[in-house]
Amino acid sequence: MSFLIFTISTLLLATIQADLPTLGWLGGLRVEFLPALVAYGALTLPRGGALLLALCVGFAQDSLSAAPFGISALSYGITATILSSVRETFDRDLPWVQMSAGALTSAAASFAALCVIGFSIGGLVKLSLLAGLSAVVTVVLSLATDYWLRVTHE
Amino acid sequence: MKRRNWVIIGFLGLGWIVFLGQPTRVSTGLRMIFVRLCTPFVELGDHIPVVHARRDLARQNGQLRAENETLRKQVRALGELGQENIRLHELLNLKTRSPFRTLAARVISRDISNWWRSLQIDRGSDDGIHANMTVVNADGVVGKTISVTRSESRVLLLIDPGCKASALIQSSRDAAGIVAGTDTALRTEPRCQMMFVDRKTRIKAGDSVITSGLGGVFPKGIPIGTVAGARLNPQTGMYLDVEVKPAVDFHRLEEVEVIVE
Repeated sequence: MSFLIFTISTLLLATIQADLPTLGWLGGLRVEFLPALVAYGALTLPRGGALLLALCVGFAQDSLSAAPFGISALSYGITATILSSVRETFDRDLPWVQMSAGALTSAAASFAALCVIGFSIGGLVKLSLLAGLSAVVTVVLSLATDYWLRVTHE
Repeated sequence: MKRRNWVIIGFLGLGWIVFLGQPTRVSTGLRMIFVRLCTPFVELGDHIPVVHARRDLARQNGQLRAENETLRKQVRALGELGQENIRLHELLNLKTRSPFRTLAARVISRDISNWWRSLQIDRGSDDGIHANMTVVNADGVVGKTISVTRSESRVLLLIDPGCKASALIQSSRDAAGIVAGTDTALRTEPRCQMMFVDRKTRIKAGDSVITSGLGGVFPKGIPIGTVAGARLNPQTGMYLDVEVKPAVDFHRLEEVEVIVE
């Protein structure tokens, strides 16, 4: 059931991410929701589920992009594996832990993209901004999901 | 980290290198599965309020723009220069450049990532589209098709670093080069770069850049953009790097045309 919810969430977040306008005041960046979903999954789901979710999200993202197919899935898969192996040492409810997880996931995907495109100062600035955005989105997504889960349990 | 996690990461990396890193049957098949799975949700965007309102405005805007494009095409077709060009071609007994046969397509989605520049159109192999077809609009080159399913295609935009077009400066026909996107940094107004231009070439801002027809993808004579500036390549010192402002407004693409013949 939870996997079905995550699958639908992935597709819906991908749709919103593709359709929302870019942020002109941030150099035309697009807010990314999928790294936040991967980070949230890596912090909360069982290890196998987190890896499967990361791969599915990565493949979905690559299929809606001109990226070499699988490059996001690879970076999300590696990040989810690392996060789920170290998550026991941190309090996952703390915002800064969630922010770090979101930033790391986004940075890993951006790093993989830069490996293909080529590194530049502008590219690294963009990587940092995207990581910061994803950090914020991860906290918001975690809060919203936790609230929704609490309401549905009650 | 436990040894098992390193093994998982190793398998992921190896799996990507072997199966997905290059366009193999596995990667193409897997991509097609995900494209088919995701496309209905892309269309679902029409029912999400924030997206719906934006699309409504975009659609109205698109209709007005389509009308504008038709008028502009008529103006261009009837222009004095066009007439003169036809007469000159007849005089020289050259084959007149026939208009391309195009197929209109609607843009259904943009690239989800911040690192690549592409869009998805609602025409696929069932409509006679295949990879490496030129995509244009009334202003000029939009890009080329890269992956095609039965009912939709992905178009790599000219402003993506991976899209390269052989080009020349219209006024001085000998100034040829390769135009590619440079859109890796933060920039709201996309730019392209024309590389490998002879350093002795005289170029001024505002010169038109068109496709040269070399390379086999983009037909000759389609507008790419205008020269915004030029400087000597600092690494080689042999060529000019020409900054090109694209003719197409990539932020406002709603309908495009695919050149099928």
